[in-house]
Amino acid sequence: MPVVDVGRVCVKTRGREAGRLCVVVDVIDKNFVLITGPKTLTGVRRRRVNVRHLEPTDLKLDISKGASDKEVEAALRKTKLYTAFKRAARLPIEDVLKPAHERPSLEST
Amino acid sequence: MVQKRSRSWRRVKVRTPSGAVAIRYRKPKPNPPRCAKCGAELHGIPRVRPPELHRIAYSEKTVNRPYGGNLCPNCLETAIKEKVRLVVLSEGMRTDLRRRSRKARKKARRKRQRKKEEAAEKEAEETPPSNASKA
Repeated sequence: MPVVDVGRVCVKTRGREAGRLCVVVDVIDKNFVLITGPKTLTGVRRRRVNVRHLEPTDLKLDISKGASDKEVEAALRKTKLYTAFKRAARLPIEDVLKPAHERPSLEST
Repeated sequence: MVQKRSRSWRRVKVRTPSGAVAIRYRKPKPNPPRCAKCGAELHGIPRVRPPELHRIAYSEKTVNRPYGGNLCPNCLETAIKEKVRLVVLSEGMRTDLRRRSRKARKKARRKRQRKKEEAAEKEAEETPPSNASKA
């Protein structure tokens, strides 16, 4: 099972919100978690998702279980992740789609 | 007028105003739209000829997903995952999370100040007389 726990910053990989950053707010059972963008920041609604549709990052916010969108936003502001969330609300993936020899090297990213 | 056509055209029976049944011919459908990366058939995008694509609405030709109507969901997922592992984990975002301790912040501030002072001194040394006379 992936490391998806409360406060974990993830990227959605499926559906209309695919490629957007979000934060795990609650763990419902071993398959589902409650996430939020929050919507005002990244456009991800507060919703239940299958953990298989999330890609976890190694970033974690200090929030309590079931935190409200406002609390999540406040936590983001504290960590400066706020700007990163605003800027990269949707990850651009054009470079990944290019064939391997056209991609920029790892150092430049 | 007799149409120039092939036998492979689709035949449609049409009842004419006089009551007779006539055969009309329809052009063949193009191949189904496919994923740009893996070539899998895409669902939710109509199989119609190019001029028809002009006539129908945008929402009928796409899927509500980034790269919808271009990539299949599986290819999109792998691309996003690859990107996440490349970029989100890069140093820039991670250092943001690690909040500097009070001591470290003080140290950084002192360092910046020292740099500023050094730069000012250098400037003063390099351009002494003309500036001094002006002042």
